[in-house]
Amino acid sequence: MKISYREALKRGLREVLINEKNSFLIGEDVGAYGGTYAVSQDFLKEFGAEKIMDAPLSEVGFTGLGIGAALGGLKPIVEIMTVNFSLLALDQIINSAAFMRYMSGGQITIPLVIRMTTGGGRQLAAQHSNSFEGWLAHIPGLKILVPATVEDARHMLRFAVNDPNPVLIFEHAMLFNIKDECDEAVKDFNPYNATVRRTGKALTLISYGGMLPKCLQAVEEIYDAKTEIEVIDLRCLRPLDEKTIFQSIAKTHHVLIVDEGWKSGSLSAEISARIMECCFSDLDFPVQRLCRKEVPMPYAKHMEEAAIPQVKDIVRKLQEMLYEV
Amino acid sequence: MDTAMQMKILKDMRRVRKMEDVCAELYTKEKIRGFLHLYIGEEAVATGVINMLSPKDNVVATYREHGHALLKGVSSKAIMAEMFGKVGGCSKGRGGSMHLYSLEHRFFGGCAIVAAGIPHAVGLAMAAQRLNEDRQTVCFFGEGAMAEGAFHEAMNMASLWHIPVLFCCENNLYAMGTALVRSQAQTDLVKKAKVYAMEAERVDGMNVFDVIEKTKMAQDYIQREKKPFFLEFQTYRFKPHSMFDPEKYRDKEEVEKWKERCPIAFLEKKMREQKILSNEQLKLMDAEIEQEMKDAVLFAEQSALEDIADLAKDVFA
Amino acid sequence: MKYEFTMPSLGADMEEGKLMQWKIKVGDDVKKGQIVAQIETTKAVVDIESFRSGKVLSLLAKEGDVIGVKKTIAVFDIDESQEMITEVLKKEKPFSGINLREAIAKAMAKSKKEIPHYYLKRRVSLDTLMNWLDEKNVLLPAENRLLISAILLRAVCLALPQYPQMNGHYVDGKYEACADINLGAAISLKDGGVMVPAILQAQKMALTEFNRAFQDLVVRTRQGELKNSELTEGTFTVTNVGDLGCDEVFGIIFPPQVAILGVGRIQKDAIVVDGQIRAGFVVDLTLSADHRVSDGLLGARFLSEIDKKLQTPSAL
Repeated sequence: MKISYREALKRGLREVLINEKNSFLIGEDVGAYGGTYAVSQDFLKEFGAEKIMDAPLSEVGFTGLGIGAALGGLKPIVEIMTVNFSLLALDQIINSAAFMRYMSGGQITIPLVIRMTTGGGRQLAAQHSNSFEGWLAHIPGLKILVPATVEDARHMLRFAVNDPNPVLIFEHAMLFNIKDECDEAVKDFNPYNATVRRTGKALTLISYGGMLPKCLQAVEEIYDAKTEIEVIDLRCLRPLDEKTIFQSIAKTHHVLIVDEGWKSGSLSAEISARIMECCFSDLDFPVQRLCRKEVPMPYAKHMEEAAIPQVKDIVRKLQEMLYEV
Repeated sequence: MDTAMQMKILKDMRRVRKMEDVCAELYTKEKIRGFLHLYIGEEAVATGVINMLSPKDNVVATYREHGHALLKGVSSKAIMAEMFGKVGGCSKGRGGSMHLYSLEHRFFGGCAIVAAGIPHAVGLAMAAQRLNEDRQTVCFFGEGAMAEGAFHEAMNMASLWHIPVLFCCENNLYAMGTALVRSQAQTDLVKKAKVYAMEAERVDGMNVFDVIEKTKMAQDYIQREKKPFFLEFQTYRFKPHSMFDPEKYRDKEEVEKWKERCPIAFLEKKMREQKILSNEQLKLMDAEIEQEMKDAVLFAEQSALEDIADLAKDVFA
Repeated sequence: MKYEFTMPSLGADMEEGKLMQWKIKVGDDVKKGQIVAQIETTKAVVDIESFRSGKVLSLLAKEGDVIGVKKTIAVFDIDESQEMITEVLKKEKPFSGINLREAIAKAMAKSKKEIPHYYLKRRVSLDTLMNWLDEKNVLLPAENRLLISAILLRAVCLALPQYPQMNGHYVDGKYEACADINLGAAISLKDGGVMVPAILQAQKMALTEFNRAFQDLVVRTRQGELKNSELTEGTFTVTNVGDLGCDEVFGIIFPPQVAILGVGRIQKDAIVVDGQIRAGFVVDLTLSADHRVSDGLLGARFLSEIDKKLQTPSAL
């Protein structure tokens, strides 16, 4: 049966709250309101206020509390309403969560999960449309998961909660309503590997999160037997699964990276640089990128659409690379 | 306080001061690098509070934490080796002066971002409460931290959710070089804490008897009411903020005046009045401390450097 | 006892300080914690406290002097009972821990960057010396036999007193010749590294003692049992690559020293004596020296002096 990305997140979260005795969810409006994106709907009733903690508007405070709770033996799942508000908690996320193990010479373990929604596309304007996951992937000590499919939304959290390291999960706001089949009991599930969502020999299309469905759709639109495009879903932005990327390029010799973040200093820049460093001789064509335009997100719909890579942009780019050169 | 306890307190304060003295000198000789923040003048606070704790209790401190770590049980050898950047240090030489850690001694840093450790303490206390562990959680921070958002957010949550934390504000009047009166509109810190519907008390941080009395009182309250408590310790740092501080922001007269209230001299005087401290005892005590610190320095010097091959170790568990 | 008060280092970015004002004078009683001087750094003017109580014996720095960190600026007489914790660091102890390759890399990079090297080479006949050595060693018990490497070092040691520009340390833009000859020898380690420990005060030793000291140094180096001072207080270095079959080596000066002598393979080669070509023992000696302290003319004389010593082995 098909379920939504939202339902998948909900099932994943519920499973963890039931199975992990010391787990708890803390964040703004996770309880009485049911979660801004309705992921924890009715959880307050089911699990009680100790496990589902409605936090004051204190991102630094409750993220720091989560770190302390993890130090003290609990398994906190901190929900930051959106990535935009995570800026308020960046000190805790970076200076404490990411660094404390290293600073302590390996003594300290912080099994902390921070979930947050990310991305633009809903006319929420500049302060509510950021895609900072690639930016946070700059930080050693953090693991960055980006579920782009219903199945990943369903199963990634379980692994994150059992990881002894701080794990950040970015759930894309535009994916909550997508529906797909979801296996409740997946085998060989590893959230830290990139996955080939579609195989091909002509070109490697690398993407993740909210851009993945757009990429798959674009490939569908131009697909013909001669131009098989390989689509890689990164899934985990740190540590980055280079092997899957490099193996694909050895086969296709063409790469397009689609990243919702701004181009300058983006994750796409990092991937591109690593391709140059490690598989330069495999390339038949310069690495190409499609990214967010370098502007704060505008409110007006047509302007917002123009700022984020759309299916038609991806199609045009692919055609340019495949046919015109 | 009985005689033995007073002796212990005096020795602990003198240990802390001696260690800081040694660190300062070794800094000038380039054995210790980075920033070095000395606790000289403020010894009564950490000594009084931590002596009221047991080994299983949690302590979260700041970047002026050498004394706190020592008093919590971390060996002077491990602390000194950490300062030297050696692998024998309590954080393997990865942290240095500002990041002393010891999970074994429930000492959670060593946090060099002002106020960032305060929410950690709230989380630690919440964990102990939920796991039914019999341990207290104490958090040290300076009065400068009370201007940070993290302080206010943590105070609010602790009070709101009845999380049993002992908040210890070491008010030494200066946030680096900025005087409290020049940076905070409400300089009555007890009042400031009370707006979070939290019990709070002011303590003479230069008088270890007062420190101990008020700490015990706060602990009783926390135990009884299962709520947090805030203590403001009025104290003073005799030394510059860190080694490179020309102290343009305060008068020499002010420093000298506070030095007259030296917490160590104060306790010694009290003990002499009670006729429980002789010169011989003091000499013996100092000889022991001297030996301890000498051993620590030698240990630090001889401890190995971490192998560069291990640079990337422990980024992830 | 004497206590050296040094220019304090107040941060990693401080290399020197300017002494603005002494707050003490010779003969004063200084208390621990008392402000003794005012120092100007690039960041600020800072009051400096004493770490010890004692009587001021001498003030070595003058007001206005710019002094490198950790250099002694005053000497106090302090009570013996004032245990000096930090002094434990000065005591002799085994060399420990440090990543050798990294240390070599650092020292050599610094040397190549800062020291203007000049290079000289001189071929020296060893016929006389080798004969003398054979005769001498026949009479000696095995453990006392003289080693050719030790003899070469010995010749250098005897030549050095006349060339103070070769034996000393160049620090903070100033050269200071050393009265002692702490003769360093590059010794290869089993695992591939190299260490340069020194025979301390080599000038005070007689030949047999020197020979023994050298053998002992080699053994202790390879066992990792050197004293810190042996690694840090060398004043001149000899590097010998002859055992490894190389004909010559132009060494890199080991800072803060100012010269290094390279010794190549001792071999039989065609030499011309009295207009006749014949086979004879020769060795190529090379000198790398610091142009800030000496020049090629002096270096050439120094090499010639070593040659002279090697031609009169009985005086060794």
